[in-house]
Amino acid sequence: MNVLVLLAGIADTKWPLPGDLSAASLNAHRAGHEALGPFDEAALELALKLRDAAPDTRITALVVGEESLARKVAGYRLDQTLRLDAAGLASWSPADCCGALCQTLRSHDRAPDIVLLGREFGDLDDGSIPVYLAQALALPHFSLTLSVQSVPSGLHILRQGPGGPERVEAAAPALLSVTNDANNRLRQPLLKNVMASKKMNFPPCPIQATAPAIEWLSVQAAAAPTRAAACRMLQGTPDEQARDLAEVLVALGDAK
Amino acid sequence: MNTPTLRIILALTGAADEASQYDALIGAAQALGSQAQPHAAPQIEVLRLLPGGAAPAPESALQAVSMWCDITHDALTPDAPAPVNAALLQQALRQTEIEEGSRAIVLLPPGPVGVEIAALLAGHFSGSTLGRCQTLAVQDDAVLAEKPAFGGRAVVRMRAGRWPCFAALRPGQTNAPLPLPAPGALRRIASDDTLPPAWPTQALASGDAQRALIGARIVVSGGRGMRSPEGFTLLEALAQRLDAALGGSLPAVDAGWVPVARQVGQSGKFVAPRSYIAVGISGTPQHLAGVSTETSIIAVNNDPQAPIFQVAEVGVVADWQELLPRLLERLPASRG
Repeated sequence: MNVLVLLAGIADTKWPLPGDLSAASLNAHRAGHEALGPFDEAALELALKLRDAAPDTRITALVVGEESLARKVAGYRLDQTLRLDAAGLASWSPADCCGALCQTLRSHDRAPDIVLLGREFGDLDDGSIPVYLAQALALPHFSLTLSVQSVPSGLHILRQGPGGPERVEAAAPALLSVTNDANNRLRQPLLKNVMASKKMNFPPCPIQATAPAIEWLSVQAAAAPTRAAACRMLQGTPDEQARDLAEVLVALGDAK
Repeated sequence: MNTPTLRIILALTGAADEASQYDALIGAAQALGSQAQPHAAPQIEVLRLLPGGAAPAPESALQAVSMWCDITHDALTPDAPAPVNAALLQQALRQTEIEEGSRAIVLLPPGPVGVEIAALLAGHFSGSTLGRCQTLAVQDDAVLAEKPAFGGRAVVRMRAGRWPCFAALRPGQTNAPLPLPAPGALRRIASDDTLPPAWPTQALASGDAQRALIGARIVVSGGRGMRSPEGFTLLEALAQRLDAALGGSLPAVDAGWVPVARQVGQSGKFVAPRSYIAVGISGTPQHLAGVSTETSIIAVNNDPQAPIFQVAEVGVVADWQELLPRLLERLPASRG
């Protein structure tokens, strides 16, 4: 079975964004403080679990980011790790981002049985890129995936459905966008594989850039919501705070 | 050459939690219509999928739109997946003469399903998807959008010139929808079009009997500061006592203390309760993006510098392990 996992990386939230925001400063910040996001990690862990269940599973990762991120991913002893330079990708424009990803995937010689990616592909996507990618690859798309098993008849996918969790019996090949789940935390890589990955190089795959269909105009820091009045702080001992808070909450319950 | 009239269409999936948002969504659509065409009353069209059991359209909503069309299909269920909903909406849009290049903005409800449907429809009509947006405006025959990015820490301004345009708009502070002088009639389309093949699907028991987040009057929510599942047991008790819904932040979901269906935030649900009780939540922009700016926040956090206190109306600097048991002793039994 061939598994393809696409990882976008995010700007590590432990670090504040630069004060002077622009596309260039954000690219530089991201390059210097890159990490796998929670949805990336979930997608990668699902790929590893598929390999745990069937050791002849081949995993290829396509990483959008710096070489350091590609090395981190390669530390999981994948069969192949490809890289795209994030600065060259218009990831705010789903159609253009998908087009660039497909350019790289077309040169890949093995058609995947399962494509895995996070439900949001990087800092600028909100879930549109997996949809576009599934359409471009002509694959059925299963969103909000929690887990997947390969079975003789195809795939058993556990996902968050509109009414709650549901199990879907699907056929491969398929594209799954993965959401976070407590039972799917990314494992720690083996030290020997991490050391081996440090010697690897990951030159970026070439892509032909086109003028994006959606134009980036500007970026600014998100404004904190404004509130009409200052916060009323409940002071005192825990007993006093609990008493005052109970009064506030009882008043909430009475006011319908 | 005269610019064709802009059409604004609100596409609804008929999900149970949408009904509580009709006023906000129609109000936001009217505001967009007024901005785009300031010299005319905003003409808002609604296409709503109507699975069996869905409530009829409320009169206040019908009075505020120029057309309301309910779409039925024998195979349409309340839990239909996004591709099925998108296929039906696509067919309905074509019946209303929307095609590639049509000067129209189609608004979907906020949330992951709305974003997915917007992307599917944009692909079908070779239009633009702007995904999850905070604001939308029309300028010089293009659509301008402001979108949260970088975990809600930044807002990116974008311009889409390819029509039609699809977006999942999170209504911010909007006015209540205004009744039109001459509202449109209610129509119903019984679709018998072929739907995408359905994969065998089995609903699983979630073990989650809590009140639904969307539409709840009060939400009790926990974050990383709860540090353990035991903390959420206390939050569940508090939620039951207050007849409230239980929510959680992204870190709490990652830790497995609360299911992903109860995640509140930019990547989770958007809630607009009257009151939001945030316990052990620091108040990141990513989380606050999931809470309406018109909601009153009550915050409990042991860090006096936590950003949540800058947006809360009532704050308590305390350790939840000391506060919550005392609080539960003082609260009266639930009336529910």
